[in-house]
Amino acid sequence: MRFRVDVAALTPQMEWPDVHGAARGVIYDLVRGQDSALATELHDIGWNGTPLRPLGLCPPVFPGAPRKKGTYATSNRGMLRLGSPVPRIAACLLAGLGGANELRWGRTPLRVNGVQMEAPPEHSSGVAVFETVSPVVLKHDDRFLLPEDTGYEERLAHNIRHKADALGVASETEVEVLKAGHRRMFRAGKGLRIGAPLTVRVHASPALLDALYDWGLGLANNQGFGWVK
Amino acid sequence: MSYLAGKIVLAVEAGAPNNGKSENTTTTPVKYARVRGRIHPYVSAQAFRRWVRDTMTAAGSVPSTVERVGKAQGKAQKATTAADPARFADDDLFGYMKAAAKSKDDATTLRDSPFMVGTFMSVEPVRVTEDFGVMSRGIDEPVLHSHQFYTADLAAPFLLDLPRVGTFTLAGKKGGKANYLSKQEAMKAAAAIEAGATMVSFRGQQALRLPLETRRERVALLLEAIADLAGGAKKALHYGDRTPALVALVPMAGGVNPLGFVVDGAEDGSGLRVRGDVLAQELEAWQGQWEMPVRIGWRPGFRDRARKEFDNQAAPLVGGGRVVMDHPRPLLRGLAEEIRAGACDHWFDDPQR
Repeated sequence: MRFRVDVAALTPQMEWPDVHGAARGVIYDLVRGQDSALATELHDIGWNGTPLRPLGLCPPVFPGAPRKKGTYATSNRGMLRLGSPVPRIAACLLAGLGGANELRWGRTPLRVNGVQMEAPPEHSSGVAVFETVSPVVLKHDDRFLLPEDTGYEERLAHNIRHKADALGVASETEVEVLKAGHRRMFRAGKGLRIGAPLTVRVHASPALLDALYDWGLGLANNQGFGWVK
Repeated sequence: MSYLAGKIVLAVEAGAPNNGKSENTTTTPVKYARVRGRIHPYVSAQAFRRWVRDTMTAAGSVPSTVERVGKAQGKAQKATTAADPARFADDDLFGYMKAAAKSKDDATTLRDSPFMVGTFMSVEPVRVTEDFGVMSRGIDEPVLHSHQFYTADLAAPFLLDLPRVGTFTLAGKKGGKANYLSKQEAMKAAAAIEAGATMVSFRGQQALRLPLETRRERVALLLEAIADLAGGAKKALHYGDRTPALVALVPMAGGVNPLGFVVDGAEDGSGLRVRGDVLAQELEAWQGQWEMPVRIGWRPGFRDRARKEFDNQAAPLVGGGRVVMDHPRPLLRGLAEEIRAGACDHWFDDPQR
């Protein structure tokens, strides 16, 4: 399940390190406010016996905000998106958002204007084209991979299969990168993250496609990476 | 098929299962309506729905919590359920209205009832009897009282909108504004999501829908409650079995009920009619809009003459498998089991046109 939150920034700009760096704190706070045991389990261990955390988000975007070099411009007409394929986690996110008037995105206070639920697209055909808003992070042997690297598609498919196992759904999948954006580097809570936004065609069961739409592609989804448009 | 249309007949013998408001302090009148100048006692749909709800509770279904406010709280009197259809099967099946005070910002919440039922009206005019009573034990001045009772067959139609069971529509766009969830709506939606609900487009609106297993279970619970129905007023004096004497069910594509004239009262006031020839013509007229078989449950011993006549008229329908006959209890419970087992899953979605 995915949710869209319309927000107004109460400061004229956001610090770059906060864009992805603040994401985990926001999402864990929302879960902790409803179910602290679940938040602790996710944070300390992961989900369903795996180190994965099935929740993702897209950092706030402010379309039309006046651009200024070197800053992440904000406005009073922004939105952020978040979601989870696990009903229990998604319920915590929505319940937390329902009662929130303000979210603190690192050093930037965001006034919550409203929350909406987002209907998923139709995935019954077993194939979907996903375009990500934020860079997809992939790693192999402690090295960040980029779309032009050998074995990139295989690592992405491996990540998807790993997610399927964590959720207990069929894990057969095929991935084809259709388009890749420029290499981007962001500072997140646990150091630097390097990746590139992607457009990929994914063959998988409808349940797994629904889950990826709610969760995101690649690693560090709870830090705002790999969010599907 | 997406609706289960039906008709139920309750046999009341010297009973007063649903009473009206007394006109003086010593008389309890039964509810009745005047039809073409003659008296037809009835059991209101509200009373029947309460019996079904209570029977479900007796069978182990957790009822929605009820809160009442009134003078003691300095408010206008009002009683509402928790209005939480994700958690409570009765809020889901029977609907609710939880109206907020006009001055408050809280949204008024409302759910259409997927289970619709008519008034159980006597199929023939009845002369209601007034029973006179007296309390005279060990006192010099006896206290007089009276109440009414009657004997009649009461019939009512019902309709179950199966795609709506476990499906809760979300607030739509209001005048071009974004359809933001209120805090209350967000909490309700969160409860539904936690119960496994997914987002669907339902009759042109966005909706949350509970998993099919939960929806099947709720419909099965309802049918089993009708099979084992208990309830009604004046049980100490008039006991009376309230399980249906006759029940007819037909799965329909649309929300119409073709059984209206199949089970009714004769125009000459001579009592219950169940007409096989009318059923055959209705089924013919609604060809393609209903699904085999039409299920008819008839308690043995109930209106034997009418049963014999119906058996003769409906023999071709029964022989062709279009109608099946049984006792109402195994019939309803058997259908509940079929639904639980997933044999009727296609009833839970609107047909594609």
